[in-house]
Amino acid sequence: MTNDTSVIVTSEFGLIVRRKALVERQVELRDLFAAMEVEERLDGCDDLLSFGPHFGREALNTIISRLTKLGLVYFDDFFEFCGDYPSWCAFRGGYNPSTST
Amino acid sequence: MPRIVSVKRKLHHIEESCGSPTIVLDEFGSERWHQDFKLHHFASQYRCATLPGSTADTASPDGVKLQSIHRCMGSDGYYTVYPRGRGASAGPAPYGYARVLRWASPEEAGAWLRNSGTAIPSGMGGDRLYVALPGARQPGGTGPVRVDFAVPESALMQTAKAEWRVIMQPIQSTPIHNVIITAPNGVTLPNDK
Repeated sequence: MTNDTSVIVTSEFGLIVRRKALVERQVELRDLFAAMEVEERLDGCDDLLSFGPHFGREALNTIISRLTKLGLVYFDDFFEFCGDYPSWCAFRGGYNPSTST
Repeated sequence: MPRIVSVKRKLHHIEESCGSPTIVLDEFGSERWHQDFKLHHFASQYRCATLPGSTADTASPDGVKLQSIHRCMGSDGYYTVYPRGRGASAGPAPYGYARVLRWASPEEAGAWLRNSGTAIPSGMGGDRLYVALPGARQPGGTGPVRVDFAVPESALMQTAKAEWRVIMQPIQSTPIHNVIITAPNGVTLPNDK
């Protein structure tokens, strides 16, 4: 984990997960990784985890379905980030505690 | 039009037999029952059968309905389907085409079968169809069926992953070639018209 307050995100079917949601929903980190079928995240900070890119819409939908089955709630606990953006533009996601659920 | 299978029959691999015979057409179009074939493909051993004519459906031993396509049973837990026949799948692709692959759900693979492997089925991937270059690891969240095909290199766009490419849809007017579908044994590919 880094001390940075933001995470790198990918616009190619990326997923951003709120860390505290894992505790609130009693989801183990290893279960999250298993659902994502990855051994490591794209990036992480104290409050957020970032995953991706994922292999298109179908793969992302499958993973979102798995996260939902784990008990995570879309939008409150995680969300997808995707769109058509030029590769020269990098994105970062930051946590805003004042609007946390 | 029956297709001709040109594989060498090798009787010393009977222990890998399908269990049920498959109908094979010889070059004269006559039906024969064969128990075992062996051919080399993707460094694995496969049994291969050419299935009958272009109109009648044939149910394979594990329930896959096939229409004028080739089907090969693999000895490593997979079977291979050639939507346009094995010859079309193994032949050279036109100049400027690149081989790519995609992991699909059985339902999506059925769509690839239904259009006889002539074009990327419509509606796949929304407006962006992700494919991988040969040798890439299977990405998370993808289905168990592997679809190999050749597509014009000009249609392949870079992605954040070096071993992936994306094809912008719709691209149904662009022919694809060398379609090979590899599915785990026991996975049924829907092929209902």
